[in-house]
Amino acid sequence: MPYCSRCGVEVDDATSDCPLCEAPIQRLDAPASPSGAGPYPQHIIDPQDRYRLSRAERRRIAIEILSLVAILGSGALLLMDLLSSADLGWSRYAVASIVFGWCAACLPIALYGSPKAAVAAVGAASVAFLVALDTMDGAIGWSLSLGAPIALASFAAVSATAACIATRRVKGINLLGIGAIGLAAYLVALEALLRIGLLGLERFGEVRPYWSLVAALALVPVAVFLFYLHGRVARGADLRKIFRL
Amino acid sequence: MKTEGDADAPQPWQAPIRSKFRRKYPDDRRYPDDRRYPDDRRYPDDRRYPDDHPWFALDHAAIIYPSILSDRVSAYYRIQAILDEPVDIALVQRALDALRPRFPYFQIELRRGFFWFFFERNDSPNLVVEDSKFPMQRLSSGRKGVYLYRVRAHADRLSLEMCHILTDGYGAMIYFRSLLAEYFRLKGVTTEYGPMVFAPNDAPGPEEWEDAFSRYATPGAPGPAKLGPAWHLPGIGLPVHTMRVVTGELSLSSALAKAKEHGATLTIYLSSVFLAALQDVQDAEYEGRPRSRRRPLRLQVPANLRNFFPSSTLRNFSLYALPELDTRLGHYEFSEIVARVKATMALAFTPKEIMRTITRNVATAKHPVIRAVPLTMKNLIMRGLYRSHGEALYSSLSTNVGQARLPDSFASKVKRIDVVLPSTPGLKTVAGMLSHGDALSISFGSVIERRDLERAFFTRLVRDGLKVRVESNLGAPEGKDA
Repeated sequence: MPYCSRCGVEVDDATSDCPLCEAPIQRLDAPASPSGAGPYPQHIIDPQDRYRLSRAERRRIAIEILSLVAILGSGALLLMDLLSSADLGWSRYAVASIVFGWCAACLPIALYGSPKAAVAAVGAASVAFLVALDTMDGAIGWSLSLGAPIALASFAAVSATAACIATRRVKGINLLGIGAIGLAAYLVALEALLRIGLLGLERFGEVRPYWSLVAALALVPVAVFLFYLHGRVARGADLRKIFRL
Repeated sequence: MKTEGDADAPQPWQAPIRSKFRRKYPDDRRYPDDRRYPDDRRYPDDRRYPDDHPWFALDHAAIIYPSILSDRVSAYYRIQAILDEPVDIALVQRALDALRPRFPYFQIELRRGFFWFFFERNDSPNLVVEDSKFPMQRLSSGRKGVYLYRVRAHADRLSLEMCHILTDGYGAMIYFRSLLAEYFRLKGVTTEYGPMVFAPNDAPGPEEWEDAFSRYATPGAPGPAKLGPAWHLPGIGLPVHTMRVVTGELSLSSALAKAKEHGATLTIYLSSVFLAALQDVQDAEYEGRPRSRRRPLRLQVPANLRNFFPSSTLRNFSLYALPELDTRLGHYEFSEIVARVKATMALAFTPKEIMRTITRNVATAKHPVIRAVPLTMKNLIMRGLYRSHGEALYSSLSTNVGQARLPDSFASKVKRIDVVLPSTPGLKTVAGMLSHGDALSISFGSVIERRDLERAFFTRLVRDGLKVRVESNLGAPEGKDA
């Protein structure tokens, strides 16, 4: 049996390098076992080796295709606008929309594995898009007072709801309950933002919140009822095991 | 009693895989689902899992593990047998299915409660899985329908990968022996059942479910002495989801004779060699630097507590000794190391000393304030505690499971049995030992690139006059990722 002259241990016939010091095994004759025959299989089952194309490669290709489509589309629109009116008019809005669409599609792909960073990036892109649309007519108006706050509030509400849903291992009608709670919180925030945007901060305290509180007070009991249906009735949860001290 | 016409009726453990489960594991390379086998070796169709434990709590040794599981910490260990002929996958599947009702405490999935993790009965099929180059990678234990153990096969090698959340080496060995016995029974080799090999059609005893730590905790007993951090191996980590296994095979009788020469048992001798190898690596690492900057070397050597406290539990019931070399005091000769290991283990493995650790663990878990902490916070705390009061205290781990004790009926059909332990980013390289017949197997599991600890260990054995044959899952000539 071949052995490593440095370590003094014996190795299998098929082994070319010492498993301990990686020195080549000196042998006088050809190996008896076929090349590649080792004690363990040489394929990897878990969790790699599942796709011929790795996920990183797939992401890179997707970004390439989306970028190409965005560039070709934007270029065509700009040329059409220039050819028809010898000036950039409507095409600016269309190109801004394409750029925003490209950001919304590519950023989550590029930031795969970092959902918080992806949501933050898309949120920032949304605000930038609204401000860009607003400034195309020469002045900043609605985008800062209403557009950006409402967009950010929408992102925050959707992100928080999605994060909460992701933590649920058993998904059923409890997701509707989580959605109802998220919607209630969003409506309260929306009414507050609308009042600030339309009336200004100095008159914020003059009007009491109304419709959003009514909606929230209706949604929360619905959510509690859905949670109860999900846990206690649909799944027959044993409260003793879940709250075992 | 069912009639012959019902022979193909699905068993409870043969329920079709739920579509949800299938969706989550679209790429699992499982062997074909060939479980229709009407023949005279079937068990009666009226066997069912007992319903008296639809859910139950983790034992006190297991409660730390779910919190620390990650892509780099799997907590799975592996017992593998090398047979004298290729493994028949269909028969292994039949043996596995037949054995499941006998070990209902392993047919569970891990679930999250509000305060603690708990086990819940799992009726999903458990299929034999194709073996992989990198064993013991973590299963998605947080998902429904996922077992905490799996049986794998490759060529002449049959393996059981068991999560430490379920049981320790003693419980896993009984399960593995019973699996082998059933496999060989299906091949026509009859085995006499007993306390070390369970008959598949026997009913599980209530004492097998016991959390024996709770029984032997003694309120008021003082805790174990506090220890400082130990030295850890340096080294660049291997890529995630990979590990290196280096197995050395040597003659048991030669190793026993050598241990006797040193006036030690085999466990003490091999633990001493391990500590001496650690000292070699540390010496090389600290060459030219003052000794005062070193940290002590400490080795975790687990022991089966059933030898000290009567228990028939098949769940975790083991603790450890921590023999130590304080290398700031100077270089230790091998005879000194043997004496220290022998003394430490003699002192540590007494019921009174063991009771200290048992009581501390149980009392901590039963403390009203700790019980009332939500699981999310407990997980954070336990991860920190595992680092500061677990891995930080010892340099590595070396366990000697002992003799495989296979029944005579099929012992000759098994050439060798290995136990392979998973390492962690903290410990980096650990070792497991197991013997069968005259074959003593010593397997290192490592998650770092450098192999100097394994080399120092095996070359010490060679210098001691023992003949060692070494193999590894890495380094094969045409390995894809080797």
